[in-house]
Amino acid sequence: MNSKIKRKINYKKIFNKTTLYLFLCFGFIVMVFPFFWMLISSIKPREELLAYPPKFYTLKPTLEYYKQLFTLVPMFRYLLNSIIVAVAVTVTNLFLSSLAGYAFAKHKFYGNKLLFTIILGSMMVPWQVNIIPSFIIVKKLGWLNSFYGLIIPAMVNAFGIFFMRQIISTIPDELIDAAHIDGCSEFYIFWKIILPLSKSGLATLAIFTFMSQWNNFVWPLIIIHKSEMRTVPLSLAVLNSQFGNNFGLLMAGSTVAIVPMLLAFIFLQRYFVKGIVFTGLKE
Amino acid sequence: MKKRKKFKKHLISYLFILPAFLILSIFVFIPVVASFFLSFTEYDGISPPKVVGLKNYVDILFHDRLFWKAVINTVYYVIFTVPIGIACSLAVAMALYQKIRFSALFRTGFFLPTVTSVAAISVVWRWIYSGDRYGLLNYILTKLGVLAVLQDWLMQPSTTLPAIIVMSIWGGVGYNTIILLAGLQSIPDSVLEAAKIDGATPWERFWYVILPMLKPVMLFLVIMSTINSFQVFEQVYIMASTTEYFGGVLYSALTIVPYLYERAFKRFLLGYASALAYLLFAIIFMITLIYMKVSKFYEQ
Amino acid sequence: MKKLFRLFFIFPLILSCAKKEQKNVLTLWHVGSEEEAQIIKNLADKYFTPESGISVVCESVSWSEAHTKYLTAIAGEVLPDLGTMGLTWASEFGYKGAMVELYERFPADVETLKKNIFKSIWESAELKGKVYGIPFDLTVQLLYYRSDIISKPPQTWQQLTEVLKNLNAQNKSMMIAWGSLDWIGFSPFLWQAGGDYYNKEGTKSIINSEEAKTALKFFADLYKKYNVPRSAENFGAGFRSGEYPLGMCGNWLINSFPYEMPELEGKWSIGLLPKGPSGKRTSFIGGRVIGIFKTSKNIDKAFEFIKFLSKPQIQKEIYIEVAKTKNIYLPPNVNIWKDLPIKEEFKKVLFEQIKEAKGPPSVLGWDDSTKYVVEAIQNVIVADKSVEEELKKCEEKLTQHIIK
Repeated sequence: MNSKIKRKINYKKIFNKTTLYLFLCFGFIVMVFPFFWMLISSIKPREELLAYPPKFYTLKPTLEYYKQLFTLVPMFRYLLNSIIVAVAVTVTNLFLSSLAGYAFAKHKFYGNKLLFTIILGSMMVPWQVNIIPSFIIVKKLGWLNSFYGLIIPAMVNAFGIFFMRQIISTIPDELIDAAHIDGCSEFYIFWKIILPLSKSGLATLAIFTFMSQWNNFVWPLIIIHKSEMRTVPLSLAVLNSQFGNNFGLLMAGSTVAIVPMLLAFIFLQRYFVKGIVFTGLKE
Repeated sequence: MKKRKKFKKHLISYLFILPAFLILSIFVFIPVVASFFLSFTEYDGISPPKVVGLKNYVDILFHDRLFWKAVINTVYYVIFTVPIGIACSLAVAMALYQKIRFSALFRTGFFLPTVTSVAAISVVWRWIYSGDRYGLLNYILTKLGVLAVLQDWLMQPSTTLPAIIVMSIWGGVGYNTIILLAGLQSIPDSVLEAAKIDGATPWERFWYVILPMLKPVMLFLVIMSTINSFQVFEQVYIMASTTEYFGGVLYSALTIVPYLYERAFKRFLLGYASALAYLLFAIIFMITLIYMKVSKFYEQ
Repeated sequence: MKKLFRLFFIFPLILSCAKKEQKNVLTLWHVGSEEEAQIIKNLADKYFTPESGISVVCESVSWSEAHTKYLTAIAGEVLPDLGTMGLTWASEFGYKGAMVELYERFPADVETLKKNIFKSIWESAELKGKVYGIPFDLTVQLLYYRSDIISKPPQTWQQLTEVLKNLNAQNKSMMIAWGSLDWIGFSPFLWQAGGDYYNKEGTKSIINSEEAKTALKFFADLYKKYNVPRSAENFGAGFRSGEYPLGMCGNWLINSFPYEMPELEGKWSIGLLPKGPSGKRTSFIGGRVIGIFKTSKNIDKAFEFIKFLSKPQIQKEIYIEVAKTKNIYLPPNVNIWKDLPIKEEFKKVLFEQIKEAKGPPSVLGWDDSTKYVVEAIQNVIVADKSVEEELKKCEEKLTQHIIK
């Protein structure tokens, strides 16, 4: 009797598990398929590319399009530009956001609340409001077509300050007070105590900042007019309009653009998850 | 003496926030104010701005057919993208919440579209929606025998926006799922155990225990995705525009931001575009206010 | 510290060097591919620089972003000396005051250039006696057909419908690969019917004519009755498989088809567009012009470079080099055509079609008005609206948007 019930439950369990996995696999395929197609199209020989019915595998993989990608357009240069911009923006963001975040979290000074509220409020403003005057300012500063124009306006943002303030405010005051008693300077405390203690927050912010810079499209589109200053998303748009009928080349370009982010995600997945959880729950 | 020390301490605090504040001032605060003033002028980027008072706003609200088309399309887009997107994410999050194998693999898969730019993957989506029989969607639907006539998904006014909506949902599921997962994980096990002991079926547990506890997270998601959806740009710009027309055939997929972009950076009507931007800001601001009211209501 | 000091010292030095150099450098933005920009640069290095002592820097700008780029650059005053651009842009930017009016400044030279350039393209480059850009190349709408499927290309509209009926019966059709659902695809039909967008003086739109109605009805029928697909992204694949053995497209496929589909060698060709009711075969001609920006400090030298690019033997070399990249460059200089190494059969068709072609109307305000034409076309084809009403509305809008 008892074992019969158990078996019944087991059947039900197996059925449930099967549905669960079927659902997940179906979802997984839907999500991943465009990427799979992108990859497979970038290594298919020309005659198979627009074959009908579509071929979902290839027996004659070729690296021709990758060769084209790096010879037809200066893809290395574009990758380098993107890396320079994304790394510089990430580093400065980490430093400036945590510096300001520390002051906002742990210092008492006139205007602390007010300034922080202004910063929070600016998060509500959609970027479209800023983009035209920002363009004019960057033009007046003579930063069009330069790394300055790409990097400096993005060096810090309201979200980063807010994020780091929340992270740093979880650090116990006693640690800071003890350092004060030992006669440490404020900057020393920031550098030697605060930063090491907020490592995981910094890692999360780093990944978010890098991701948004890597994929940033509109700002570079507007301020970059020189081909050698293009970033990867811009170069994709260019490939699209110049080699629109060379599907394999477009796919190779997209793959190259995605790979750095994909690797970053796989290796730093737990930070990603943590960071998103944070933005989702603490705001 | 004490005062001096206090002053020095304050000075250090100001020094700490100064660099960040300087950059934000130049590239956020000043532009926000400047574009507010620009919105009352006519400005083509070459000759100096000419003050025209409320003309831009009046023109947009009362004489601009395309603006209203864009507003209606945007609302349509938001109404479908947000609830369907969140419902899908909830299903996925519930599935991933169970004890399963390969959860890291699944998570990566669902999150993949979130880390990639729309520009990079849109080429594949164009192929999926392609109007001839070489398009994947047409191929699958003909194989299934559902379609008698091939559909030109991105060239047919009735299907352009839905096609873009599907693509956007696909792109947003990952982010939402992970937030929902976090919400699920924060539900104490004891609550679920108690429900189990009381003999609640899994469905009852989901409906009466889990869902109410997810409310704050859900509300946050609704608002964030609504704001983001109001600002949809790249999907429309890349998927539904050619050199000769933008926003799809007969503006069927024209939303506010691509329209703003066209006015500002294709026609260089900078004053007009600033007014558009402020109207968008007003819409988003109102939604944020409503969100705050609603969330306060729930907290009480 | 020492290092830092050195850096401070060296940096301005580098900057000043760069500035000094600029005096004998011309920058050119080229709307087109990276490869073409490189070809122009190489030719300049080979012939222009040794002769004049001026070196040329050539940047490529992609078509889809070019218009925005020029506008932002005009506003930001970060312009090059010279730029190639869409046919009507030079007049648009010239009207904004950003470009040098060449007729006024170099009357004799412009007159000479004008004599050697196809009339059809020159008409679009000149605006009320003002010239802001000299034609750099041209692109013309042609008929591509599979000779193994269609024995003879259609010569008249009537023959075209007959061919289409036949093709439809075999589940095949035609593609309009350049300007589907927009004014570029529609224009040839409008002109072939004897209509036009504006009157001769450019003071008033005449798009609501009987001729235009005939044209729009015929154009709409292609989609509605004869299964011409709305998008033609995969024209190459359809042409290759034989499902779309007929297509209207620009000349840019001539040199890429043999490379992409070698198995079709001898099985395809190009033809003139079919004659309309007016007996004309008018095609749409596009292309690029090259102009000088007012901010340039080397206007005279820049014009020397334009003259250099207009030389027959240079245009021939551009053709040869571009052909090596499987693309095509059609020179606007009439005199070079007999020497061009294009297949004779193709050359004849191209030459004839270019002579019987028209470019976008040279009327200020046209660029802002194309959207009304596109709307009328799409309303008729996609939303089944009436041709008469749409053209009436369109005419009003077009007249209203003429800048006088």
